[in-house]
Amino acid sequence: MLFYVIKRFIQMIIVIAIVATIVFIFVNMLGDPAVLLLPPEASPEELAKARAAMGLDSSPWEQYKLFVVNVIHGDLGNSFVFREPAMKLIFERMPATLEIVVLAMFIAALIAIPLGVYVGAHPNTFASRSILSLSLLCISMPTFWFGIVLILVFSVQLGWLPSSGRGDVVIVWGMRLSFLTWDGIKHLILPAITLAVQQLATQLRLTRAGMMEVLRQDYIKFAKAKGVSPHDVLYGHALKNALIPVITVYGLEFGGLVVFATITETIFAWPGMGKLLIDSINISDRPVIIAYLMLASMLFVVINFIVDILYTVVDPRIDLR
Amino acid sequence: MKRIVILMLAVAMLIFCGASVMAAPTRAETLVIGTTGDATTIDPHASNAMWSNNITINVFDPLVRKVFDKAGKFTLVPSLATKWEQKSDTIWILTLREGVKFHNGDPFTADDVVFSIKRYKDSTTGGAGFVQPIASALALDTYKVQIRTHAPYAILVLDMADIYISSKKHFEKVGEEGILKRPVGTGPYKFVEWIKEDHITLDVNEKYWGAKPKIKRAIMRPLKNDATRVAALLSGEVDLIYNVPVRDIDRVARGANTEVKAIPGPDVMHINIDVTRQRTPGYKNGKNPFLDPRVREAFAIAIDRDSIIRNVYGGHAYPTGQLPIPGAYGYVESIKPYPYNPEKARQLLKEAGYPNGFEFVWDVPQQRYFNDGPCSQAIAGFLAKVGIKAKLNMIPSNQYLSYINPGDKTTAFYGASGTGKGDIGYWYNRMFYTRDKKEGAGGSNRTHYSNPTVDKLLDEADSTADVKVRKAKLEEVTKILYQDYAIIPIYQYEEPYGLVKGLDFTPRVDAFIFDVHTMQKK
Amino acid sequence: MMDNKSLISKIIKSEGLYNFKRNPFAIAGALIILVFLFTAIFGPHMVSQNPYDLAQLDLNDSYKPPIWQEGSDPRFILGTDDQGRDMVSAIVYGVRMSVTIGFCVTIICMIAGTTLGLISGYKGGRLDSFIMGLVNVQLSFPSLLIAMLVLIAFGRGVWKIILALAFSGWVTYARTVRGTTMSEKSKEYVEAAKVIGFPERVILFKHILPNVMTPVIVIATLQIGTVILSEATLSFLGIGIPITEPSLGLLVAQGYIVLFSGLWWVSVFPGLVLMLLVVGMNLLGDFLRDEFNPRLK
Repeated sequence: MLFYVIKRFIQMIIVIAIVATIVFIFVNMLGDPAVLLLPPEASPEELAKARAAMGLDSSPWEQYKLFVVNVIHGDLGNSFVFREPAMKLIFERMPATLEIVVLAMFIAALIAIPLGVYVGAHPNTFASRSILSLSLLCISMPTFWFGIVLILVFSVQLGWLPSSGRGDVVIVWGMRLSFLTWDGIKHLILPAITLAVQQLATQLRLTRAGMMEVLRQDYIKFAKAKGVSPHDVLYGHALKNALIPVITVYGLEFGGLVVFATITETIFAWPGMGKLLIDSINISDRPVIIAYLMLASMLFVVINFIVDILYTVVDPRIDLR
Repeated sequence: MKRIVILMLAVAMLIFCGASVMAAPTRAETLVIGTTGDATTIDPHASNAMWSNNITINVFDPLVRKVFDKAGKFTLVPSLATKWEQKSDTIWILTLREGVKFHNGDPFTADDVVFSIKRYKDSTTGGAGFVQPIASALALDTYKVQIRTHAPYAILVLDMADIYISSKKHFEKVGEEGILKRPVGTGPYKFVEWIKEDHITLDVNEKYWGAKPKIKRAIMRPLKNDATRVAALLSGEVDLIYNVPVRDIDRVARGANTEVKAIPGPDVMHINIDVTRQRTPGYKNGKNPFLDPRVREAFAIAIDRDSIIRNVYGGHAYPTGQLPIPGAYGYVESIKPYPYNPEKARQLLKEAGYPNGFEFVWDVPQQRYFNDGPCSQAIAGFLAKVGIKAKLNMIPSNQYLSYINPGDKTTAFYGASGTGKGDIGYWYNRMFYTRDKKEGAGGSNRTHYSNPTVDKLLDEADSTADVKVRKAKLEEVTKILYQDYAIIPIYQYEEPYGLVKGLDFTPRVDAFIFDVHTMQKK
Repeated sequence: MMDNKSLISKIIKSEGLYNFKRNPFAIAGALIILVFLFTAIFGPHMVSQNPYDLAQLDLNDSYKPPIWQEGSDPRFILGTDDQGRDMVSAIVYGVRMSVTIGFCVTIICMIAGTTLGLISGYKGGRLDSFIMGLVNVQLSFPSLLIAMLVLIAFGRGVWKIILALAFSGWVTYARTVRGTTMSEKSKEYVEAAKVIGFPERVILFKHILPNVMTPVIVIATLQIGTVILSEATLSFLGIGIPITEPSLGLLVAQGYIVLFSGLWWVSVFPGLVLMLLVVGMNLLGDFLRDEFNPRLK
């Protein structure tokens, strides 16, 4: 176990190093940040001065070496735009993103798992087929389009829910959180639903697949033969095992949602990390782009790792090596 | 199960212990503004970064302030400078307002002016452009400053409206990082907080030296998405929004609690074409067709400006034949937009030896200017109808200037020039002065225009201390450019603001700026 | 190894086809896909307008509503967009664009991923570790982000978006094929081929490949839908296709700008068509997956 953890850890670092290098190369191909940051009528001298201040006057190779040294010291550089550490900017926005992502996952699980169990246990009823088709519709629906339709219906036509921003927030340990005020919750609902829809469908299908697989296992047949009530078979025996693949995907999807939130955040003007990324891309704020992408890949790698460990906890039959 | 409940209770308690609910301001005394983007810095001496100006103009005072009337014309009124006298061609003496205090209590003196001008000059983030004509600033006594310009410079007072003063003492105390966290000025509002991508809050400065502001708190919310911004106004979440999308103007204007105020904006959209080089990168079949003035004329008259304005802008733009906007130095009343005449355009092309037209590459940014995509397609459509095939080369907004700036890749591009400041001289110098002839001129001359007469007129405009002479010279240039078809101006677009009824608000032509202390709610 | 004839007869007699005929969802999916393929191939010759040719557009026709609404124009059944583009024509061309991108990306991914997977699984050793290392790097990165980065660095364009999406899509194939190859490798028929002395190339592509194709085809069917959605998303964010050659996603994005002004048809119709297209792909993909994954039957 320990050997495995160490091995995975080294792998993680290698992956992140490669990602950082690739990102650095790509980001260097973006437009000149000096031209974007200065007013259009800026003189060549001003531009040169700005480039020097951003550390862009040396060769790409020199810049890369400096970048590596700084990263080793935990410094991902200052944003060209805000002139503050890139990491700080991202962490400032992280709670907002996590808030919709967690809520979306929660909504999705709350609906998807019971439905998935039902559909998996009774695969041939009309209700099951309808639920399944509906979930297919959810998967096939462009997220951004769904978000727009929600705004159109609930904000513009009915006027029930706000269409943008976070609303009133409560500050908890320096984090700004929306879900503790009524106004904040109202602001949370639409973005969270938008984000939850595809998630819901994925989870439903996974639970269904897991359920169907488990129900064919011999021990379920034994339980049924022994006279255990169908309800207990479903929720007592089958569900636990059916949830294993769901947990894996849950972890991976969490990372995916954090990144996918970019689109939802853009539509709902939700001040999260994803919006920061899009804005930074538009103005070539290289340090922020690099920091974000490194953080995102780190998140993925770590989640992968945790999921693998969790797997063994849930199902001791799985051998890590 | 029990354990989980206890754990949850503990977490809940921890959260509420750490929580502090933010005080809600009274909505009636608060003005909430929906902008199209967030500020990028709170440094008043950085570049003209659009929404940062909203912090600057409210928290800081300029040397002179622009006050706008209902027609959108401005007058310059004394602010931190109460008097300005021209001693010689290049020397000006400013008398400063006495008894003004910064938000932190520091008294305002001549040292702060000298310090601020120096800080602009040292800026690596584009601030230097604001004080470019100024050679030096010197404190004569506590309330007198002497300013020396590099050359005679007729419009220094106009520039002074963009010079904001911050406290030297405060800077010495907190340093560069400190003033980026918390700006301290003398202006009508104090900086409270800036939560990025969410809001900027400013509270009234009760000790302001001027007239007491009526609005107690101003909140600016970046609502980039057009639809979201309009929805926020209609639902009453915000009181004032910038840039109502053209298609929504009617809806906002008809709204029960909302209205629209629109003024012609500072920007003129134009097409720059290469009229100089024998071979040009965007044309593949030999000699540059735009060398022939007939082709340029055909190009200019093939575009139905009225149709574009009606269909793309819903009528909210104005056709024009020149870059300066009405009222700006360099504007010529008698110049009208090039008339639409596709038959004549076809005829001219035939005479010039292009009976079947020709194809060229037109560089166009994507989402850099208001409605640039639909507009450039519409223009290309009109050109196509007379036989000029413009191949749209769509460039992401963040790479656009890097692409067209060197001038070696572009034959024609879509651009905007803003004369919100009230003078076209700077733009003419950069766009039409012969390249590499004079330092600081011709830097944005991406189409390699070169005309000795224009160069001479611009030199003369820049070496006079007399505003009337400068105006006359710039107007002369405008006429030459028009006759030369050196640039094809298309239209000047309108800046529509949406606001709740009863808000006393006058749009400014140097757009994007909300000078909150001039506003009032009913 | 089997020749074509026996393959066809095997399909006709197969349980799969029997099940397919009995599954209305799968049939619906296949029909939808056929209709879309037909539209993509022949549609552009049948519509009244080439929406990409700016000379054919008339600005005065802009924002005409669909024919059942007031102020409509009988020439434009589903109305027009900001440039006076006929929505029907725009959607037909958009379908062609979306379908082309979907298929191109999937085919590129399929070829690249399968080849790498075969080599990786068969050769093992360092090459295997290297390829799987690449796979791991890619997996630690959401595919949409990779595509975004590539597009931002290289600019817009149809080929660029195809490459950008392919860049992140080959991984699934490589992983699956590698696993199957490893188990096939030790089977008798491969051993026999080795003994006979077939070159490696032949063993890989003639002997092992047909046996790993089943999962590859399932993945491919499911991937087309995902790719079409990703393209739409990127175009919606404004970093996909240039606006002069709109795909379905870009049409939705352009309509989004005016949706709130009551001009709903510009975004709603392309959005619905896009959804239908992806639904078709997913219906068929689902069926194939269930069919070829006998454990779930």
